[in-house]
Amino acid sequence: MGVATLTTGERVPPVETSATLDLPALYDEHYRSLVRLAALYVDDVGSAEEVVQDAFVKMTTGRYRVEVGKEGPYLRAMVLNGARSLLRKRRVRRAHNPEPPGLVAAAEVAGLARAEGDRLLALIRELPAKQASVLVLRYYLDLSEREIAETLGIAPGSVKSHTHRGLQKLKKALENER
Amino acid sequence: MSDSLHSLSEDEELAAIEAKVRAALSRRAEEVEPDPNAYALLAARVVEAQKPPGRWVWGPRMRIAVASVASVGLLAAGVAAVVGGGVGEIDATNGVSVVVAPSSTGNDRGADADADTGPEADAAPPGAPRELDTEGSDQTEENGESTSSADAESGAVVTREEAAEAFLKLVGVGVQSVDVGLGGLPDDGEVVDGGPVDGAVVDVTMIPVVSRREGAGAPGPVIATLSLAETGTDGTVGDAGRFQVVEARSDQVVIDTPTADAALTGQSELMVSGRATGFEGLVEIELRSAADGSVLASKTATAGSLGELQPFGATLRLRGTERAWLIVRSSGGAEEAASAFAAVPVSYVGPDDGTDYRVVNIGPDDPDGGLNLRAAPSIKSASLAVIPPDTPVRRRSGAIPTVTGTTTWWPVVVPSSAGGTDLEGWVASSYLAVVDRVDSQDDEASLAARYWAASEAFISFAASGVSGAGDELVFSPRLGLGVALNEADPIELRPRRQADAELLATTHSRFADRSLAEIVVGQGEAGATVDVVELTVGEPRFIHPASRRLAAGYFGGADYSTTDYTGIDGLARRTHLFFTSEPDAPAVVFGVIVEMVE
Repeated sequence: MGVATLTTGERVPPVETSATLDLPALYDEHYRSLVRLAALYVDDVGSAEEVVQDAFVKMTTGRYRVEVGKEGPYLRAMVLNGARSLLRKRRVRRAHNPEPPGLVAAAEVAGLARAEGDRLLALIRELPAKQASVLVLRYYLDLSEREIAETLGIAPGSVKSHTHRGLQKLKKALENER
Repeated sequence: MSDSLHSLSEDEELAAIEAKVRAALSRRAEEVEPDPNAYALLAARVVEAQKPPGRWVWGPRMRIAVASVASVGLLAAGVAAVVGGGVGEIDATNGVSVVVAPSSTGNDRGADADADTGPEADAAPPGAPRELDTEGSDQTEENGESTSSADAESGAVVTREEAAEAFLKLVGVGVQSVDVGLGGLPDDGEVVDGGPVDGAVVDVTMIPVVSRREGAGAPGPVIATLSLAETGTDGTVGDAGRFQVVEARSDQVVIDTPTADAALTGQSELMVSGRATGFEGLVEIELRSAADGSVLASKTATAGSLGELQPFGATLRLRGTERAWLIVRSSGGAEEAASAFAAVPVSYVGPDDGTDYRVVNIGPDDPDGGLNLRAAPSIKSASLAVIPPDTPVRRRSGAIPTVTGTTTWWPVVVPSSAGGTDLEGWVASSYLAVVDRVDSQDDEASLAARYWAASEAFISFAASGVSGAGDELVFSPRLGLGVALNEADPIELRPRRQADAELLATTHSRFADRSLAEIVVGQGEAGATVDVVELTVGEPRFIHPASRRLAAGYFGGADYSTTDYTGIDGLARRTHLFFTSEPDAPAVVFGVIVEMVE
């Protein structure tokens, strides 16, 4: 098995994975959207890519047997878990090593719409994990309730309630800022 | 923010927020472009990861060397100390703190220990024995001490996997319902914290416990993170290759009190508090023996739901003197096989409650025919006498038990039966049971009271009731069974007697030869008497996969299972769980009967 070389723009041969996993196909189908999904949580592309790569590596080498056709939900779940885990570590790190002032006001230099969007993203990140995940999966990935339920391992009815409560919290937070 | 929402209706406001959320997410996402070489990097990582496992590869490692420690449980405090205080210097090679301290004891790895701080540090395949002091390894199993405790006492290696698995069993988490480590242990065990504890060398490995999911392709969430420390042959911190869980933490359950390794003296109650969230807004609080995992006390408390941490509190009754684990478990989480939990070790010396015990669990084939009374709390200690089964013994008032390996040793007095001198010594606690103080005459009133007490202790319900939206109902996760209703599901109650009769008709054949106690089904405040009800839901679902073996029959008609356990009074009980459902008319009936087992 040849080890890939890192040449710009050049696809490397497929690597061997488990019998049912086609890494190139999975990469083509999911990688970009997953990086974008992770970036909604962790904010920087490098960390987002790391989270997504970890998910792919775990899926192809881990002990879990992923059912055919379930790779998408598996990867999404792993990416969500990984992104949240990274955020938790950052929170701990920040608690003991606060960032110097001045590094967190990037949104102020952009226009109002952008600032409002950034504020919304920040508010979504502050929601309870399930609520935030449901909103991201629903409004970014446009997943159905069933798909969201499958990804998060909750009942479809819970997707509704998490969505509703998440939106209500955003509404309240926005009202408080008026 | 915009004022445009002021004049809108509730639905319009939410629709407007939906649109804003959609736009914000899309805009941010479209700004992100992955590295064009990402596939090459990913492929290389996959190739690397698929190589056969050889040596452990560790992540960042913290080595802290100081002097000695009295209790492994104190490690947790050490972890907190470092996280909070940041003791030490920064190691340029891996960015983690390193403290180099006096090397005054044999356990002290000192500065040299840091030389192997790298990917191959402590390299050994999982489960492979290390060279170490094997003093006592010729000990064999005998009554009073299990093989595992004998191993532990002999100084045998206990790998991280073994320690984690043993701990999960001890605290009642089915090892079939979880995966320890993400994708392989200990490769994903993360050595992130450590702390100077009275000068000890401390490596604390943080290992995630991941719930499995019923029928889903993806793993479930991390339900707890175990902190494991390496110990020496004497049970204190060291480097003998024996690992021990010192704490379990969770994002969903935070125990504020008691703190890890709290030592309580002379208290008859343990106040428990913290913050938690559970799907049903409930947490189960248990005190389990550190020796054998038997449940010493339990309570249910309300907490937050839907991811919001809310305070919980409860008071547990303490009996006797124990080393124990306090476990707080979130209520059954939808399709997850196991619930989030946190656990801290505690020890207590209870007031002398005059409790009498008797010798139990001595098999007919036991070579000694009884329980060894030993001169000291160790299987290596001389046997002073062999105590026959059912012999009454008394724990020495106020005496502190000793834990070696997985065995808790109690100092006891064996009263002389012939007016001679009482014998004093140590016995393994797992071979003692509280003497039954309930009148053993099987009069109906006595039995009913006992049945009900048992039922009440093991069943809890959400306090939200069963009428209208927002209702959720759950059985105790400790039963391994949960039924949750979403707020949109219609629920219909039937009068007690009607449902009662139907339940009896459905299940009578199974219980015809037994005395029925309470049939406990329905809703109500936690711990309160509840009525028998039938629940009609829009779509019958069996949710808690921990009982997956029951699920197959569940939707097809009736199913039935029993669980045997020993109550805190030492009496054997059997819980009968039964369920019926009708595929065409989605009604779900479930019940629990607890009977005493002779």
